[in-house]
Amino acid sequence: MADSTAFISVHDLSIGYGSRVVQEHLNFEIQKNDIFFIIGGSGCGKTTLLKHMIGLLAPSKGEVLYEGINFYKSDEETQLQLMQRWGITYQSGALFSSMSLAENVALPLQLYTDLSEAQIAETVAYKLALVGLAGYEKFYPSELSGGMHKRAGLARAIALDPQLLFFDEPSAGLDPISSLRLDQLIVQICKALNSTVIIVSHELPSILSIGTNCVFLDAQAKTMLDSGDPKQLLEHSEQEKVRQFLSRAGTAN
Amino acid sequence: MLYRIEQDADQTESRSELYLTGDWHLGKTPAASELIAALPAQCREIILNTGELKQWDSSLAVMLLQLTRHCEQHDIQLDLQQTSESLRELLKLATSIPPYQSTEADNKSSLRQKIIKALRVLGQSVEVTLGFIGEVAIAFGNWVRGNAKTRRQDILFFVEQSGPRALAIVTLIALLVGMILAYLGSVQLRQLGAQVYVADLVAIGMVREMGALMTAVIMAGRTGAAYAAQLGTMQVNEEIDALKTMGISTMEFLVLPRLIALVLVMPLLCIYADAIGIVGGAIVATSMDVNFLQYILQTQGAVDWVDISVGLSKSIFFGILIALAGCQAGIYCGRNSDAVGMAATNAVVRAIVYLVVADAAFNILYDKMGI
Repeated sequence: MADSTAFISVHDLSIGYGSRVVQEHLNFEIQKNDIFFIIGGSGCGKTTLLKHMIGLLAPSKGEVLYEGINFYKSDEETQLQLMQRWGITYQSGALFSSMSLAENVALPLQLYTDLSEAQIAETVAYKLALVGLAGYEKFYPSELSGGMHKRAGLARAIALDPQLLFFDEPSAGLDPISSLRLDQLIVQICKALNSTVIIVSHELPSILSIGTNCVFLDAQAKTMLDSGDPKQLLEHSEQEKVRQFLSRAGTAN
Repeated sequence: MLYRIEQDADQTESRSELYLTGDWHLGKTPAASELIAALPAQCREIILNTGELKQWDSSLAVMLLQLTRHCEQHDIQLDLQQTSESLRELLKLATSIPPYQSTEADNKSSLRQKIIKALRVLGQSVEVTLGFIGEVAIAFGNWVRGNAKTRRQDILFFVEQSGPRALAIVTLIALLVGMILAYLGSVQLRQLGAQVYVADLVAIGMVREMGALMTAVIMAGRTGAAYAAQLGTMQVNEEIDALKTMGISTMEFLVLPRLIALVLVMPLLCIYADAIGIVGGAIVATSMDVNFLQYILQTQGAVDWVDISVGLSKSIFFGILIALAGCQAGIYCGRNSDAVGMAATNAVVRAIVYLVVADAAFNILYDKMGI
């Protein structure tokens, strides 16, 4: 039943911490070049699902396939190869506080490529400029604001031109302009680098403007209610709850 | 070659066409500086052409950004009309926010300035330490008068953490120290035929000196470091800010319970360590030259209440020093994970320096007082 063309497919996945199940029977597929949103109310397990997809938490049941490769059943080397093609940005940046921004972004380049020091410096300068942090190379994370942490985290995540980018609440805590800029950036990177993006978010403007696919998780039902293009779901979802969520209970749009 | 430069034949050499060709992948591309160096010196206009480009990743954009900046600095026109749209978009994103310009003056300073700066930092740290002690003293005064926001359950919690849970390590260390003292004494005293005085040596050594000092060193490493790490993490998580804005004094709420707990626990641990040390001494002494009854009688004769109170007074004071060093390092911790590690190190190093200096001072003082 596995669709061989799907970039990522999730089959009957149960997620949770230890014996506590947060979500079960999750089935969805992500195509190449999708901008895929994981949406749902607060506390429904969006970030938990993300953690299961990026290899931080092993699922209690079900499987996650990357181009047909089952991540959690693979040996360490295959896992490492898969992970090198991922870029992940965490909720609050997760920058290494003992390193400057330039060193943070340079770290994956130093470890996984054989670029010269000058080329690394140029690449770092470009990645920082891309997220609007040109000139901040020598700064340490403690000297920057929360929004800057997020953007610097993104610069580190895209250092190796990942095929697959994960974002955990990228625009939470950003002003509308920065948030819009981040959306544009995501679309551009996705197009230019031919990558696929998975975003945990509940920013409706982002979801509806750049999302091409999504899954809606519900805390009460403990499973997904619907999946598909968010713009389609807004109009035609069979689930009342999903339409309500995407239209902000009928007030927005 | 991933690029080709063509001069405009009919004009002077001021206009060049730069063709980018082939696959541009990270790690397999020329550095931007190399490409810039290849441009003709008198070039005033560059037309970039990506028509022959196949696959590319951000290495191309990296080069392009450097080239754009170079052109801006040297007043060269860069024509991007014949490049792909997504590349132009990426470049637009990268250049839409101007680079941050550092406003700080040059950081180079002479040796004299460095020395002055170091002295100033030292002076500040002394000032901060004295200020901290003062604030703790005021908070303690409030507590004694019963109007401090110190919670009793916090004190009990820290008593439990630093007392009963430290018993195992204190037992081990005190037993071994007692045995070491007995070995040392036995070997020396045997030369004089005065082996029985091993009991005096162990008893006086443990009660007046080693009991208090060794428990203090253990507690500095165990509890002082923990205090610094707890308070440092609270600083990083903005918990200390939250307390301040709620109008709760961090001295009363965080420092006092830890300090009071250590002051209560230290003398008890010290007495316990003294007893265990004497047992350790007995084990060694009875296995060598002295019989058990002799050892007990000799110990009873050697130690009086003055010796015990000398040890106890030291241990109480050591408790205060350890709590001060630990809490100060934690409260003035920086705001990142590195700083928490530094705070813990700082707490232990300071506490041990304090302990040894204070112990020496106590010994001189008691000697002058004749006790």
